[in-house]
Amino acid sequence: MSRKFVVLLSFLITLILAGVSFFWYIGQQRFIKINYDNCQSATISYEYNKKVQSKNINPPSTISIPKTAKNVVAECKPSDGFASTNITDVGSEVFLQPDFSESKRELISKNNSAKILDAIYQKYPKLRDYKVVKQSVYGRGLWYVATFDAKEYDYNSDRLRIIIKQEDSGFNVVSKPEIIFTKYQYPLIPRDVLLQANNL
Amino acid sequence: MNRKFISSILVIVLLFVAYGIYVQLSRIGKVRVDIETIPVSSLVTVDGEIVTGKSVYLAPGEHMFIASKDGYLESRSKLDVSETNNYVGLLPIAESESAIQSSVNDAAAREAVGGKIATARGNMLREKATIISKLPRITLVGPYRIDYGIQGKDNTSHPYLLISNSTPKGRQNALEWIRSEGSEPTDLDIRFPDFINPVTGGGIDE
Repeated sequence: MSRKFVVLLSFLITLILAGVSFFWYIGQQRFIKINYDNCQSATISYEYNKKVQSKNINPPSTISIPKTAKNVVAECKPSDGFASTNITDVGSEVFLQPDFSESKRELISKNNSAKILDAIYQKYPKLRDYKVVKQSVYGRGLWYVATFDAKEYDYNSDRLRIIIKQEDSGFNVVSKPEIIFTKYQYPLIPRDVLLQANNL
Repeated sequence: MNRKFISSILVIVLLFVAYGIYVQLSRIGKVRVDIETIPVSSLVTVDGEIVTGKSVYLAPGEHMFIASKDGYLESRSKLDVSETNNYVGLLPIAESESAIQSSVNDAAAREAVGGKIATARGNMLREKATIISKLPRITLVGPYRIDYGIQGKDNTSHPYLLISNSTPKGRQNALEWIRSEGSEPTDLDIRFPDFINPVTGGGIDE
């Protein structure tokens, strides 16, 4: 065999081995595209071989973790004025978009409280018979939630929750007063907002 | 051995490896969905694209599967594809005389696929609401009763929970119990049939 042929043969064999190794590696990996805004960085943590491992992501990018990793959590280290956030239901793509910090949300809520209550009472006048328990703002000031308690106890005096959305036209009541919000009844409202409204 | 022969073999192997890498890369982030049809020669499309194999790799989410064949009424199935929801059985119904005759021979196979469809649907419903395996739940201390039903008939159907025989405190206790069992009420279709909303005047699922 000539030297040239041996070199070519070695090159091809190396290429094949590299390809097979790559092929095997890809098959063992799970790829997750991480997107975020208003985070200093993001972290993906997961359980693999009974050990918790984590990867720091900065800037947003696609990372790979073992296919059999469990309890995968994407977390955001927030920028100033934003709250920490994490996503436990991690699919092939993750968007980490932290909400405003609690103090910032409280301030926005306080400043808009009167307008929001006006919008609510206009649509549901009977809520005037209830007392306001809590108000909060989510989704960077786009969504408002208020909870109401009945003043007198009876079989239907449940705590009621209501969601308001800030739009160009002002504050619009986008839900009925409910005991609980579910993604089936309100598919157009982000799940995060429903979840936070249910926990207010 | 002839150098040309060795080189040719290596080039072919290399092409196979390259193709393998390409196929593997194109499957990243996708789920393998197994498709069975009776008659087996039915034409299958997924989201309008013809599928030739018995499985297809799809991105998670809703996809429409259709099986059609001359002489048969087409069979459609919408599937919310996920790692655990990855089987589609399609059974076009014989319409013409010749199709009816040949479908007699397929009866056992149709029954087998029908069984798999039912199992897959059961798994899908349990995946959507693991809590249903613990229902019904009746407690006098709550007080509440939680039952469930199924909304819809195809692969995108989902279970709904009925919380009844309760009081304001009992309904909160029922929701707390659901949370304590590892389910999030926000992700469930929860209805309160005996709650009359004093503000709107109707039930919660009016």
